[in-house]
Amino acid sequence: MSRYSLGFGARQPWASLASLLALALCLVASPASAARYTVIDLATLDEGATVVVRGVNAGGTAVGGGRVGGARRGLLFTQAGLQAVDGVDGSDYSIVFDINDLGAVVGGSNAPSAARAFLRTRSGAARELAPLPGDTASTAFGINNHQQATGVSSGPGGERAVLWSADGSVAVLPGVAGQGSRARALNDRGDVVGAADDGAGLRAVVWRGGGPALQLGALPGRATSEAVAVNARGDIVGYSSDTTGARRATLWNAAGDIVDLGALPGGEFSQALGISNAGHIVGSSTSSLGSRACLWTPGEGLQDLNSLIAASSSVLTHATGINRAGVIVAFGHEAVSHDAQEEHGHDDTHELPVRVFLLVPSGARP
Amino acid sequence: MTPKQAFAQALPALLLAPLLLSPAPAQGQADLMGRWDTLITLPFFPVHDHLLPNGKVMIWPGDGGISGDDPRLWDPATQSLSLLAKPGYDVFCSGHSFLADGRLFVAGGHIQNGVGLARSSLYDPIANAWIAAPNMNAGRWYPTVTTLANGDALVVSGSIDNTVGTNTLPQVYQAGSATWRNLSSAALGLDLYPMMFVAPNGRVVNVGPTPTTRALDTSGTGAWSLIGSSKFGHRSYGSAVMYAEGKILLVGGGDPPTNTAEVIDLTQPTPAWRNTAPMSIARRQLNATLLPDGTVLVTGGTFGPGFNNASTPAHPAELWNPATETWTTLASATVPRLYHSAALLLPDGRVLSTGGNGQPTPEAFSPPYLFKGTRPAMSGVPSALGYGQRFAVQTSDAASIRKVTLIRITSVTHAFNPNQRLNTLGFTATAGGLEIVAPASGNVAPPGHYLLFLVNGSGVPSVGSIVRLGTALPLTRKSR
Repeated sequence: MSRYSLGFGARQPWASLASLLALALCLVASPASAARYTVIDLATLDEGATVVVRGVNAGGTAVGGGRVGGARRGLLFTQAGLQAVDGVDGSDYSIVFDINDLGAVVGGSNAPSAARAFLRTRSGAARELAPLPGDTASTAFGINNHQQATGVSSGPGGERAVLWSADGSVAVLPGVAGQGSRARALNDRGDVVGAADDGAGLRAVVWRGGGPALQLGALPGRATSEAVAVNARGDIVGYSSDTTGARRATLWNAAGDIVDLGALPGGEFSQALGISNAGHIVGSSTSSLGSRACLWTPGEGLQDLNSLIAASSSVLTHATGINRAGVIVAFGHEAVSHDAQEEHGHDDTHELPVRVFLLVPSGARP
Repeated sequence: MTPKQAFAQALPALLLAPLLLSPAPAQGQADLMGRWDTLITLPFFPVHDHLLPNGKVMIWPGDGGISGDDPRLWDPATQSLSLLAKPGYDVFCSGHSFLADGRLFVAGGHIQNGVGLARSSLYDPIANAWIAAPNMNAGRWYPTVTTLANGDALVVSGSIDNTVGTNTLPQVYQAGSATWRNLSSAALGLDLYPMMFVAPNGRVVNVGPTPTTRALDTSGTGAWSLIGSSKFGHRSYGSAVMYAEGKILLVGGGDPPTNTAEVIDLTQPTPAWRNTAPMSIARRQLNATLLPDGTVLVTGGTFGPGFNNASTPAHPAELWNPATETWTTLASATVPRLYHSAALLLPDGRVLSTGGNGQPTPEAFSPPYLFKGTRPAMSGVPSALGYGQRFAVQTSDAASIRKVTLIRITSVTHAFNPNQRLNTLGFTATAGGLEIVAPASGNVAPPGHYLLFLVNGSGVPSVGSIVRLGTALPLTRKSR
């Protein structure tokens, strides 16, 4: 269904060399005058656990999950500090996956015998987002400004993408033939994106306005794909994967094109994790310098976000969300001398505390 | 317990640590303290160690810029190292356990930190070949694999990536059909490398590192039930062992690390955790290894706060006696064993201690029982045993034998060994040998390969003899 076009991130020899030189210069000593983002330190999280960082909403608040004081907690990353967010009562494990501009959050947390989705409003009132009738578990991954939420319900029938209305009622999203589906995000007009398993692996899908699932396809040579974010005009981003699991950042734009967003010089693995209404895309890419947070813009293509901030002792490895004002949430760690080991797909940076940052465009306010 | 309380509890041990923790130069009283021996340095520091059914050790690396797609075979008798077939992808940070026929089942692996592979494979040690199994539902980085009573393999947890977190769907690899069964009614958030054990009722119990203790019924589409909560709190990078049928020791871990230990007896009508004596040293990144005499050896780890505090290595080994529930401090290792270290029981009764980031030199610990006299000898051990089977072994030491144990062969990584467990077997002395009764069912001893030990009245074990328990057909040269 989609037309394929070469993305602005596609590498050419001259571009690779230039990018490499630019990266090297920027990472050694980025002159403050070149900084296009002001970096705000939001939090430092314990290492040794998979950290989830998502968002960011119009108010500059990001969300996620990590270990705090030993326990796995849902988190709000605000400029005023880190806030723990509990899901269902008594949960021993919570993650917040999305926040809307009204400050309502959704996520997943453990009930005694299964994961349950939850929605918590800005005032702190929380409610469970129940699974489909007959199912036992649910997780909410996305919420829009109409208080609709999307995610998955699972039970004897498998895992199915669902949509919760503002009143909390749940409905299954029309399926595709196969072994299950999951929804990851939605915009204010009700376009839901995610993936469906057709028996041969995940395929990126969109449910436009709650309609039937449309397969988005994958980049040539890539067998599987997943859509993880959608902007107000219906541009969708995510990744395509090959049989080894290696990901490639992918844009499915509203015009129906499928675009390879490429990877940084020296890297192969990339993923697009967020997209603004202006079409600015954030994500991560491996590179000759290791894993790096990235920004794709229609005008300037693929850039290492580390080259767009003032010299720092930290390395930004993933940018996971961007709001309509262009404010980006990213995470990384303190720079270590062997970061370049990541080019081999290995490093020991998961032994370092995780640093979470807000990147505010110069002249803008978070 | 709050971190502050935990630190206060650990303070005495921290203050004593400088006196206690320097490597002990003296190896004099080996019959009391055991002995550490430094072995030939390896080309990498292993992160994943497995005792294969042939008695040799399979290792593979990861971290520090090295791919896990490089398994090697280490011979305990000669310390020689040889190349093995490669899986063809990075199995660093995978989960693994042995299937009933002796093949190693490997789930997940490493794409990036926090980003797991959905792949799964089987390693056939007879054919030295990797066989691809179907992909899982999604990636898993730091999953736990548990061999079930029927020989299938449960996979839980493991990180998908940094936008979704851990994989909440438990899956069962059905060995007979080489297919997956999704436990879609049992989706649950679990920590990385959760500590899982098959309980005597056949359910799989999660005992850590999260304090909530739950049991998973793996039939159908699965169902969790709540058991209770362990006492200490979150035991990140602690360890746990099933030291007897249904009895689990949970020890160490946390940040700052704890020296506390607790036990639970799953055979009780209402199982509950209770504290047992603490170790002399607080530790995280430790390894706990079952020994042939039924004791538990704890090695390595770090006693200082932080994820992997390299300035506070815990060198002394400690031995927990389940009969007295007390600890004895043993000889000190020379090499710090911290994050990514592993320990495993060898058939000869020694414990191989490997790795820790940047530590390519392994050591072997010879427990005190190896210095307490002549070892019992046995012969005529059947290569395969059925559940409840009475079988004979020949030994001229029958009159001195006080205990017969089965210890499942090891598959260990990241401070937890999901494959090891111990059964104490009933036996009677016969003319020229022993008649021994094999475990009753897969619930108390999942099918697969075990080390059979005879232990005499001085606590001295025989050399372990590898037996295959259950009804699975043996592997052949032809890879399947």
